[in-house]
Amino acid sequence: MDGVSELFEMISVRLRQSRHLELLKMLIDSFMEEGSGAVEAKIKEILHEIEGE
Amino acid sequence: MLRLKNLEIAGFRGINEGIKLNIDGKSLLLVGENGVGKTSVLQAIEWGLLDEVAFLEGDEFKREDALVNLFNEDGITSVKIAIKDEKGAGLEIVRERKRLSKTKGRSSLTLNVNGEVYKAKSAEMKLTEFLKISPEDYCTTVHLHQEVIRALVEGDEKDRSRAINRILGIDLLSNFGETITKQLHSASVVNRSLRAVQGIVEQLSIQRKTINDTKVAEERALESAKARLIEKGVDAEKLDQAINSLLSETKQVMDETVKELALDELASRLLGLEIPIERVDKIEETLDEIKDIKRELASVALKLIRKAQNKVLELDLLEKQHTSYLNQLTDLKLKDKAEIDNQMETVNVQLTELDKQLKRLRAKEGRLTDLKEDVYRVFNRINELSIEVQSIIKNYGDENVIKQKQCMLIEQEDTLKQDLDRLGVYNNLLNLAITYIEAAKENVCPVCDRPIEYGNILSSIQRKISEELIKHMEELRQRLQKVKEDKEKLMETLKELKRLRKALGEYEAKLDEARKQFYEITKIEPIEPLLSLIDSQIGELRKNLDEYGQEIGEFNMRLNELKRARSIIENLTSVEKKISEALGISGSSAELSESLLKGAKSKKEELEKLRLTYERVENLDERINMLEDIATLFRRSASVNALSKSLEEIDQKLFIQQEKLQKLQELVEALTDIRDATNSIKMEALEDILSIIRNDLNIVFSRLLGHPFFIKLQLIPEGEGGAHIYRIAAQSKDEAYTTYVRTRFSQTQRNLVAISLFFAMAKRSPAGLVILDDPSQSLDLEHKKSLIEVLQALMNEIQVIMATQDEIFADQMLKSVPSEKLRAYKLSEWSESGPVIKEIH
Repeated sequence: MDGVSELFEMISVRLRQSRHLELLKMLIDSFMEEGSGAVEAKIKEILHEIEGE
Repeated sequence: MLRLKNLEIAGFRGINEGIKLNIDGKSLLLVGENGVGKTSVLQAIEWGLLDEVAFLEGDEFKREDALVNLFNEDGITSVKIAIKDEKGAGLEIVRERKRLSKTKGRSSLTLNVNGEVYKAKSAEMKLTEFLKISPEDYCTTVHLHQEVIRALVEGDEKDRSRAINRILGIDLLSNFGETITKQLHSASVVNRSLRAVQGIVEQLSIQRKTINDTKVAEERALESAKARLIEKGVDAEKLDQAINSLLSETKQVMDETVKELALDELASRLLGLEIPIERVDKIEETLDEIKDIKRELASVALKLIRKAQNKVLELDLLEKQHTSYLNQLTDLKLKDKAEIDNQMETVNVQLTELDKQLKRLRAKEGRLTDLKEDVYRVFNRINELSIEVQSIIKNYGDENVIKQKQCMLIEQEDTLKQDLDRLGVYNNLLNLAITYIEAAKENVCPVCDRPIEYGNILSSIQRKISEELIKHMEELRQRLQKVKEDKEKLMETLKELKRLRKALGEYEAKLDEARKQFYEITKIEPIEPLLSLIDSQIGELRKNLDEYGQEIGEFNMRLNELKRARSIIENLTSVEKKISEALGISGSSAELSESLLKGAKSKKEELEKLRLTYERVENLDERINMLEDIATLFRRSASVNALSKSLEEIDQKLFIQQEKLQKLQELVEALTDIRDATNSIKMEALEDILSIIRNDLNIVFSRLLGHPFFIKLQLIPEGEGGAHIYRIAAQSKDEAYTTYVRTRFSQTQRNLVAISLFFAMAKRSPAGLVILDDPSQSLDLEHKKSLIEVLQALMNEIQVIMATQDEIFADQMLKSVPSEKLRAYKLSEWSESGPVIKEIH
């Protein structure tokens, strides 16, 4: 089984809010692709978007 | 259950030229020194099966290809693995890859399943299906990497915990959870951004509140300014008219005052006064100018008032002084200065004469007073001496009586002396008689013819007579002594009486001298009693002195009166001089008085006029205040407008920042949700795995450790969030004693923990294949033997592939396991071509 989808499926069912699924997906993709550094980079990107507004 | 049959490797990591290992489904042992290529063989198996190799990750691996051998001229790596499962199904895996600029990258796979060939994606799918294990399961249950053992043996508690996570297969969940937890740390970039935006929102809110409070205050002030104007009768809707009217009235009053006070400079400033109501700042400037002119007018008027007041006061004072001096001179009936001077000279002569008399009388009084004191003293002394003389006469009689007593005492003395002499003679006679008797005595009694004891009789008689004589003589001597003393005392008394009589004579002489002095002072015959006479003379003198004193006092009073008159005339002259200067006129006293009254009246009229002018100027304040109220109204209105605009701007900024804050809070909430979900799953997975493997874990650990007491292994997760720390503890059979492995055991035990955990996990694997890289790295000889025993038992069930640099371990293994079950190769002499490989078992 693909590691990304397995991890996503495991965690997504436990989320309290379904609107957090999109972020979870994004973070798992980054994590599986490039590791924890990529997660931080992704979050920085999100912060940039928020601050840029 | 898989069994590796053959393995061919070329151009992979440490192996360049192709090598072929005929394993034939047996277990495999690779022996060789460090860096000779043993791990490359094990990694080649991993890569061949999974297309990836664990631990080849990180930045460096993104910059070069660590898979293809560095010296391989073709730049191609190739791994060929022949496998058979328990059903005898055969599988040949051929995985190849060209050299890339990074380590990761898809390879090409060719799969031959019982003659059927699969390639690319279909080959990958078929292989996964055949193997029945994911890459994660592979690391957990198939391949125990040396990095995992090293982390457990040498690493800190975080490294150990990560290694355990990897063995337990929850490392992905754990790492993800840890990564998310890190993002929620108070110092994380998310929280920093959140705090920064919260700070901005707070700051903007404070600014907004301040501006709003100011605006509300300004609005209130505006309303009260309007109310004030309405109260003063100004139509708030027609402020232009009100301003013009107030300004025109103010200017008119100022014009009149300027002319009245002859202030030409201010007149030109008044000409330019206009109020442009469209500009608030200009209105205030004009108002400032009006207030300045008004202040100057009031100041000039006030100065003039003070000057006039001073003049009026000066004239009033001069008038009062002039009248007063004239009246005083009239009362004294002295108006001519020369006459006053003449009278003063006469009085002074009389006073000088009186003074001389007074001094004379005072000297006389002084001498009499001294004389009185002397006489008094002499009288007292004479009295004292007379009392002493009378006392002596009373006790001893006068001089004649004392002399008679002396003669009697001399006679008594002579008689006593004669008696004493006589007794002396008697005593001598007695001694002679005894001596004679001693010489003429008879020693035998003539009657009884017995010896006579004369000695006792004579000495007894002699003693008796001598005692009587001495006693009598002593009495005579005492009486003689008494007579002598009395005689001396009488002599002393007589001397004292003579001395007293002489002293009395001296004091009598002094008294005579005093009488002479009295006569000299008073020319009056001194009659007794002298002291009373002196006292009456002193009384007389004092009476005369009082009379002279009174007379001098009267003359002095007159003299003072004359001096005062002269001073008044001088003051009058000075006042009249001042009047002449003040009014610019001259004349007699009467003329000056009249002019003074007229001048004072005129100055008072002038002062009254100035007061009215000042009052009129001061009354301008009312109009100026109204103009200021109107200006305040304009200013407040402008301020309210400006504040409203600022408020709108700040609201806009606040809205933007609040939106950002909301998004950041949502992000934190989402991250928290993800972290909590991840960690709860991880904890569940951990509990599941530990409950499943606990039994196997304890069996393997107990066998490997060989400890008589601690036989159970416990993993205790601690801490919250993604990064759990595992405490590794050993427990006694009855679970009564627990000790942390790290505190009581050596690195060996930690190595055994890694192996025990791995074996317990491997037992769950469907692969039936175990690959161990340097499993004995920290073990002592005893535990190496334990490990060999465990592995030997394991080799009976599944295929075990091992690499070791430990020659002792390898020797023991080769001695313990027969060649039917184990094949061994020695790798040595590594070069650019790769290692030299030799089959040794």
